[in-house]
Amino acid sequence: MKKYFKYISALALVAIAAMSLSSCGEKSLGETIFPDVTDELDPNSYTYQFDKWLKANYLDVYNLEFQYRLRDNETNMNYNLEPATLSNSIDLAVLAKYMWFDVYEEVSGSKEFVKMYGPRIIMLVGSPAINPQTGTIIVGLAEGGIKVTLLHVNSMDPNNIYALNSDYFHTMHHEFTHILHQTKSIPREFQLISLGRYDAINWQDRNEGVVHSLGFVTPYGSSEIREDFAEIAANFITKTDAEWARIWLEASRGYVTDGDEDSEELSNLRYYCFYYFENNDATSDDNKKYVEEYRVQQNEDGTYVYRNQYQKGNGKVTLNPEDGKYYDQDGVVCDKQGYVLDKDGNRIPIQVFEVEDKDGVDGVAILEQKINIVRNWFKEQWNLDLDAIRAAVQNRLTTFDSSTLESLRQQVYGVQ
Amino acid sequence: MKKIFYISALILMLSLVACAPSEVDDLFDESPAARLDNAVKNYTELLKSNGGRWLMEYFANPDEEGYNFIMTFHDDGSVDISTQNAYVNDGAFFTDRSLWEVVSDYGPVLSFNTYNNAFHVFSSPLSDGSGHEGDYEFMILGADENKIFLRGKKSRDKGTVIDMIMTRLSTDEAPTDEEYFTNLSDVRRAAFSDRINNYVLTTGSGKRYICNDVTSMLWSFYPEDGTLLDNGEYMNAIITTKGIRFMEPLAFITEYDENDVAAQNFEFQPDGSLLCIDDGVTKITGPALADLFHQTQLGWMLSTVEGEISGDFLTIYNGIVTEAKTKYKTTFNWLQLGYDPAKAMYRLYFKNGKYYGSIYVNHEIVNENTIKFSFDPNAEVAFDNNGQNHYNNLESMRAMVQLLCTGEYVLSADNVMVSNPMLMKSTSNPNNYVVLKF
Repeated sequence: MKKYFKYISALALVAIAAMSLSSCGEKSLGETIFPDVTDELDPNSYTYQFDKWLKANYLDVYNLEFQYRLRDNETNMNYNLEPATLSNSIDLAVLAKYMWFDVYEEVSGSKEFVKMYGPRIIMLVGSPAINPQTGTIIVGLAEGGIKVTLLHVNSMDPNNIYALNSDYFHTMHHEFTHILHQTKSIPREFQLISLGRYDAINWQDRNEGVVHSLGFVTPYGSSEIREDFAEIAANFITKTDAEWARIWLEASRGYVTDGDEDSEELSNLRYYCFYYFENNDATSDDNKKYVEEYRVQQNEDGTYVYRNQYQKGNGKVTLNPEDGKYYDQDGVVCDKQGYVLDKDGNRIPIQVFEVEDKDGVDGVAILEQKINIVRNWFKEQWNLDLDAIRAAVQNRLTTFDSSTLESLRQQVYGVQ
Repeated sequence: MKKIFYISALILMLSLVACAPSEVDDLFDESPAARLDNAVKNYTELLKSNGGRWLMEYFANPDEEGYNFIMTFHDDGSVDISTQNAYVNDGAFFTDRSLWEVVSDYGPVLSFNTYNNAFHVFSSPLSDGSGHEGDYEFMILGADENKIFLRGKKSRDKGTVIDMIMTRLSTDEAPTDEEYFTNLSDVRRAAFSDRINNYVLTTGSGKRYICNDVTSMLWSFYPEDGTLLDNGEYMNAIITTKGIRFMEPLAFITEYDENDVAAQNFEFQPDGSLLCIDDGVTKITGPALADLFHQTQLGWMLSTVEGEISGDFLTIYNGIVTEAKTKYKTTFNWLQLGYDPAKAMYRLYFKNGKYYGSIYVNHEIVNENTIKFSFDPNAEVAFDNNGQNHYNNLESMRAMVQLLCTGEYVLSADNVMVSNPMLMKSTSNPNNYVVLKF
């Protein structure tokens, strides 16, 4: 009985509370406390043309607010940040449309895809966000599938299309890929490929060639799975054929350092893909030396030599008056400077060899595998042809010149 | 059971109280949102009004001097910002145009939200991510027709309160922005000297603080009876054409009670001193003239320009010139009363023809404005060779030493901050004086 009474009492308590609340509801709500806000643009505004262009090309079409005026409460307060210049904001607005939104429209056949899945806000920041502790630099951010922040805008050189490509267009496609995978997750098979080889702490100190050979397209891509995914997509789209040829080459190589990976700072280590034996003397590993790639020359038969370095004779060179030839102290034919000559009378180059790839990872195969997964994901999840996106971007890159930029700018400066 | 009853009763009572019709009128006629909207509109209009030209006294952080910006706010949402400081345009005058807005944020906030090359360097990161940490958004705390009171928004969020002032700037005061900064450079150059140490802040009760590092505007203070090490206080400041303003009130002046206004704003006075306009009594001046004369880094030059040397000094000096011509067949070039850092003593230093010579004298501070000299020809440091030679051979030179070392000299200056030039006049014969300069 006592138990039931407790229930009845509790019920009464709730009833009293409910009645109390309902009795407060008689007062009408009245007018809104918020003042009338108009979104009409002021023709006398300094930025009227730009604002009108943004409204017509981003807000009305994609329901996207292009925030070129920085508000620090929308940024990470721990960073020192500066606003973007107005002129660079205008350039980046027209270029973002040209190299990003228009590309997706071209490939998907309508503006709907970007309107549906694109960001609602693009925010510009003039400076990069530099972490004073790690020295890492943030040039782009994607947040919750809603907002893309493009940083470092004030360093933009609008006349250097390849710098724009690597610094900004790449960031746009990178961040857009984040937005897409924040909507539909990264395939599990992708997540498993490089598991155990990511380095979230020291990625910025990793050697670019080394990460290529491990199957990452950039050191940043080697930081974590989602950055790997975004980097594969963004670099596949934006990197030129020549840049990709370089990545494939480096991915196929072996790397070695003459430093100590266990005790030295990663950023201080130098990595090599080539070695040679001093004076071509391969009788001892003590003679083995590493050499930078730019000092190496590839022969027509695919072998390598040390550029402008030749095998020297042993000891003092003496002239034999009988045959008019020079000999070293071992009786080997040399030239007057002491370089050993072959049977045709030519100096013998120092042979260079490729470092054996011992990391146990086929970088080329892994990169191909990742690209294929991303390609399929775009097709299956988004009905988008990644190769077509790349082709469209590359076409715009190769045909871009000063007149392209001028005509894009004219879209803004010509607004009436 | 009792507990349930009490709780039920309490809820019932609270409900009745909550539902009782309010008999208190709203404090404001408008909603908070409408009031904020009005404030934004009013401050926007204020900034643009009467030509829209304002002087912003800006502090980026507590560890560097403040910087002046002239801002002209236009109706179209643009702003012209001018400045002249070490971080912009290699220190030369510079103007740039960008955008401004008063936005609703923490109350009305003045935001300079596109990059301005004259201004945003103080918000920018350096290559290692550090920087000046300066604001580009400012909470508007209040205003009158000619002043707007601001607080840095980001710095406040990060725990540092930096209050700043914008003052309306008329064309009468500065016809052009560049003229203002040229004038400011002149004022700054004249107001303080790198060569003077130990400026003095004197409070209303007469307590004195020694001030240093004033030209850098990174002032240090310590009580006259204390030391910098034990009692040192530091405060950054900004200089304008009218005076200086410390970033914060000088709270270390303990004689202020809670009803007083602590010293923060100082205006230049006709005698060069700085008078606190908050309390009307605290004053900053240069060191006492005898101390200034005593400061070893200064080299005082005895002027021989007509009107700057008088009485026996002039007569004897002319005698030296004549005597040198007769005895050495030379033209006596000049005579200085200068400090020799190598010997750490004052000396009569001269050039006669191609010969330089020194006669060393001791000096003594009699009181804060009075000094006297002495000379001992047999002292260890009394002459160099030429000095001894001229002292022995020229009667007028001996007379000059004798004159200098007879009686006391009172020092005076028109400018009490940078007391250069300074008049050194004999107390026994006011007609005997020279003008000293460094």
